[in-house]
Amino acid sequence: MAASKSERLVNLVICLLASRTFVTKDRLRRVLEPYRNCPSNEAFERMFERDKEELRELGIPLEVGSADAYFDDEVGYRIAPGEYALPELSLQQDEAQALGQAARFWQQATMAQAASSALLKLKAAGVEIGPASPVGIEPRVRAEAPAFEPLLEAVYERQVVRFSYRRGDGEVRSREVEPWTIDSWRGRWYMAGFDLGRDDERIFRLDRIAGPVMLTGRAPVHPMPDQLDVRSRVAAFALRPEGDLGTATIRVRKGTCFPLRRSASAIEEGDDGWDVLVLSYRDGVEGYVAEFGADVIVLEPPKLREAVIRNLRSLAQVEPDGAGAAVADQDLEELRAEWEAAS
Amino acid sequence: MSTAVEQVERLLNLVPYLRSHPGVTVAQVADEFGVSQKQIAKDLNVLWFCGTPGGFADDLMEPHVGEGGAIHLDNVVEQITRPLRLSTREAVALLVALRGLAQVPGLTADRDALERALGKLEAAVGVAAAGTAERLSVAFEARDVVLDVVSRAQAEGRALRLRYYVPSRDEVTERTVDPIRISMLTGRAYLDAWCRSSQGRRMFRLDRVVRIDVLDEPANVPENVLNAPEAENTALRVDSHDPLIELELAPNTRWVPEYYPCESVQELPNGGLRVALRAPDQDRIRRLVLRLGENVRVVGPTGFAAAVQGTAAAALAGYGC
Repeated sequence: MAASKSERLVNLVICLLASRTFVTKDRLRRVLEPYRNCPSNEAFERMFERDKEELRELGIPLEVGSADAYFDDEVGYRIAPGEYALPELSLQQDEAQALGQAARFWQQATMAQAASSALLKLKAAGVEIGPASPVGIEPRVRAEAPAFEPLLEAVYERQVVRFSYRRGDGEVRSREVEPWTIDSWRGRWYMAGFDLGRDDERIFRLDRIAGPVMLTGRAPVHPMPDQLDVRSRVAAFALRPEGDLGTATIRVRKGTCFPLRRSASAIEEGDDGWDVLVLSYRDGVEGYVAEFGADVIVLEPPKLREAVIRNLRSLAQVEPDGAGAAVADQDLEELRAEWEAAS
Repeated sequence: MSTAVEQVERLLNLVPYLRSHPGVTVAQVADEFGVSQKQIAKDLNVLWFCGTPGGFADDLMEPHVGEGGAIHLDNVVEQITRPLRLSTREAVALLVALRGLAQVPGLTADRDALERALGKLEAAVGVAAAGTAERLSVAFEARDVVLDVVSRAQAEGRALRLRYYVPSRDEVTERTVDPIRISMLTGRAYLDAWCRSSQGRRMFRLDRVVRIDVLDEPANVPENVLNAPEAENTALRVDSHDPLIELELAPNTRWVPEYYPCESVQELPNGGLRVALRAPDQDRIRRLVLRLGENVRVVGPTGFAAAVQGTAAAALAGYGC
């Protein structure tokens, strides 16, 4: 069944490509055997409607026009060869290689699949891609956030989207957004668009979108500003620096705390097995310091010293009863079993 | 897409492919098209019934399969000797990739080819697809001195001397490596190299390189290592035998699963998360926990919880607490 349908569709494509003029339905029915064999006009109509739909689904540019110069109502169909075929690319060898590299770029399923089917068309057109070079730079891009795929679809289909968004401060709210761009900066994905609820432009982190992204079916109405402006605002958002609050003085054991030493503005070598570092200090830095455990002692400022002590105390505390840990071990077994089943 | 539509898509690609690759085998085609050899045989059978309208045998295509599965397509229908143009999605995938690659810092040799390919592809896909591609972009780590040195060593085929920081041991190690390639994973640059000191293929995060020198001696990656499947995720790979560590995170540390690969993430009623992570070295997770301080609770396993407690107590002693 499937084979005869494929055969019919391929022959329909050939027939419509071969004709310079618009081909009427009547003529198609006379020329193509499966249509000729339809028991009734209705059966033919149904079959032909479905076939047209499937050609469009394949991205085949089916044109509808007047088949007769004198009678407008005589509708016909054709596929313009210039619109159908992949244009000649005439690529040099290193350019073809570059395309091969581009096709390996994506690790996200939808993009990877689109890239490899594009590459296959180029190969079919006679482009020699050649094997990947074993050396060199091979950037790979992932898009693990589940929001990536539906947002991409919304950009392709030009649709307004709705989703729940969790802000940095934990607030979760439903948003309706006209998506403009999707950009990745240093491994993290951002979407810029017009937030209909706030009536203003907003930038969203894809990994903070909670739950499903719904396509509303509505078309965006706010014109997108210049692409470069949008992109530079996303860049500024993604790469914004965190402000310095002052300096901290810490003691570090010799031969340890390498990353702290690297970011120190001054190092005073001691002879008691410890050195003293001066670092720029901002909120949240206590975590970076505490990471080095007993190899670091904060001297100044008191705020930082207290924060580190408070954090260490919380971790040094013994659980009042062992219940939490026992339950956890049980969960652990389940998780392990789940993992093994998945792999 | 229905099976028939998928087959039509393949057939419209198969005809030009067979024409530009005369004598290609069924096995090769199956591999290239990502379907079984049986499917390719079925596809070829359909082609026997496809041709210019008229219905005479002479108008139909003739896919002959000869010795060793070599395919020769005769009587090719002229109208479908070019593949269908790229769909918007296909065009976008390649255009965004080319543009992303062209701005990878340290990539100088191929940039020119990438840009020429980009120009030609843009012209071929049309304005609409090129416009949609503008809405997507990928940018990597900023330009970096270490990356420049590595690319130079690669271009000249030389070995490198590295001083490399190992965070789990808080230690700087020295090693001689033969560079294989630079990989960009989740926006970070890694050097994929043969490490002579440990006699193994390793991934080095470039931001952990303390010092790097290009040596006079040539790079020499063992042949069998080069041909082996790439070690692409060694830096991130975990083993099912590694113990699973469970943590409860306060709402303000929900970023953890964004940076540490977690096997499971569950929402907690207080807005926090309960995560399970597995790491080849527990020290890495112990450091994470110390960093999170009062915003984390170790759920298990007990051995790990005890290690965290011990470290915290030792650190507190330094403050006289």
